[in-house]
Amino acid sequence: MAHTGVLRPGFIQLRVLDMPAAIEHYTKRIGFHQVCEGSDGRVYLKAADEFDHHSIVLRRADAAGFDLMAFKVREDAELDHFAERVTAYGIAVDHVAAGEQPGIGRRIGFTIPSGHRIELFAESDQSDPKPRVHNPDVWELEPHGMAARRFDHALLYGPDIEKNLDFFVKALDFSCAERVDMPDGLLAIWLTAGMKAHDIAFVKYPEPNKFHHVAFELENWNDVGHAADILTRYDISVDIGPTRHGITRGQTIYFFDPSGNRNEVFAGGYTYYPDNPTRTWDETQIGKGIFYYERQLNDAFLSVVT
Amino acid sequence: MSDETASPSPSPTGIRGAAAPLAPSVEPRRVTITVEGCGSATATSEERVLVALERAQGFGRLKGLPRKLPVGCRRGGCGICRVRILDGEFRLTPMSRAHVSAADEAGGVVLACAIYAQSDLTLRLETPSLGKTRSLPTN
Repeated sequence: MAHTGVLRPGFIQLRVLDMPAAIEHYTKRIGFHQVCEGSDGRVYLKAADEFDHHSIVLRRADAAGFDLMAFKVREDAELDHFAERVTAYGIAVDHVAAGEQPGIGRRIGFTIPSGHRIELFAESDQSDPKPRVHNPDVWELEPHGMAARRFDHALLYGPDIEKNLDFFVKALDFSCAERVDMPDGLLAIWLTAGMKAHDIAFVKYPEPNKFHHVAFELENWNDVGHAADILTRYDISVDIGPTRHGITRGQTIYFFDPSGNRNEVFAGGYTYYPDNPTRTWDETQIGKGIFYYERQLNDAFLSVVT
Repeated sequence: MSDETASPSPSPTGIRGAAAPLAPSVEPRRVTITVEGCGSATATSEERVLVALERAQGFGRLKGLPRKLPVGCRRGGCGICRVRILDGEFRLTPMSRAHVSAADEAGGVVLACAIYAQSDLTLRLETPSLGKTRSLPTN
């Protein structure tokens, strides 16, 4: 088994202003399912094509935005291994007891240079609905809404992303699939722990711990079109799309949840092998890199975050 | 999980997201939104003020705007569309305290995407500069 250590994104916890509106958006429109509500009011969601207990956590708060993103590692012992490496790198590690989120084992957590909290965990209960594993159908429960198949990745904004890059590569064994270098320095990085074009990405921004978007994977370009129909039918606020990214090659729509957190539906994207070189972009082609058909950034890309 | 989440039938409360519609028997009122020094927009009492301003800009009715109308998430989260209400009544839906403090709100500052005009309104744009938005209460 070639893939050890950090496997993939596990879950993301977001703050929302209006919990009933958020639940309706992520379940009925995006296509997730509510697994449970915790005693502290946090709500846990999953896609029917995911095995683990949950992948989205919603927390009611007075400000929208990002609480944390957790990656799954292959074995419990690796949590101790990574705790040592992160500590040796010079970043303080804390420990979260099993059960702090329902169905999730112990976690380690730390704050990266851009100000975001990242966690690692190894164990998760499974929950329903989930795929059948013996003689499986293409889906066990038919997709609804935008038919999201999984929590795919997140894009986060903050300072010191050069340090984030160094940390993710040296301490967590991520690879940098693509990067944008402007005349005044590094603007953006796309990082992967596996064979997707990205699992997490960062854009340079003066304020720490800001959130650009959470992305949900769709099966294909037709499903992106269906998602666009749903966005108009339910008057969901759209940022841009359907369009395509040059970077990652993903087909996409950016839109907003009822609290103003940006969402993305994402289909396609190339396969990244660990021996692939980093793809690089400069200031002359960044428009095409971000929005391949428009060939320019929109007003909101660099300025609208929660 | 709940079977409810798989239902294809739309819920009426989903159409306007966080903003609970008024009772269906109430006819939307037509109101005028005046942007100080920039022009005016026609709106209804059942749409977000920012959406009415976007439409007016598209029709060339806000020619005095010093720059393109700042439009972000349209759902009270990002803070780009900060305005100060100088006159008029409005209905307020949730907006992020990271961008409008209680003191701001008491002084008439709101997010244009989070209000529904209930009378003619006069407002002034108070767009935050990039990366300098207020922060950071998260609880």
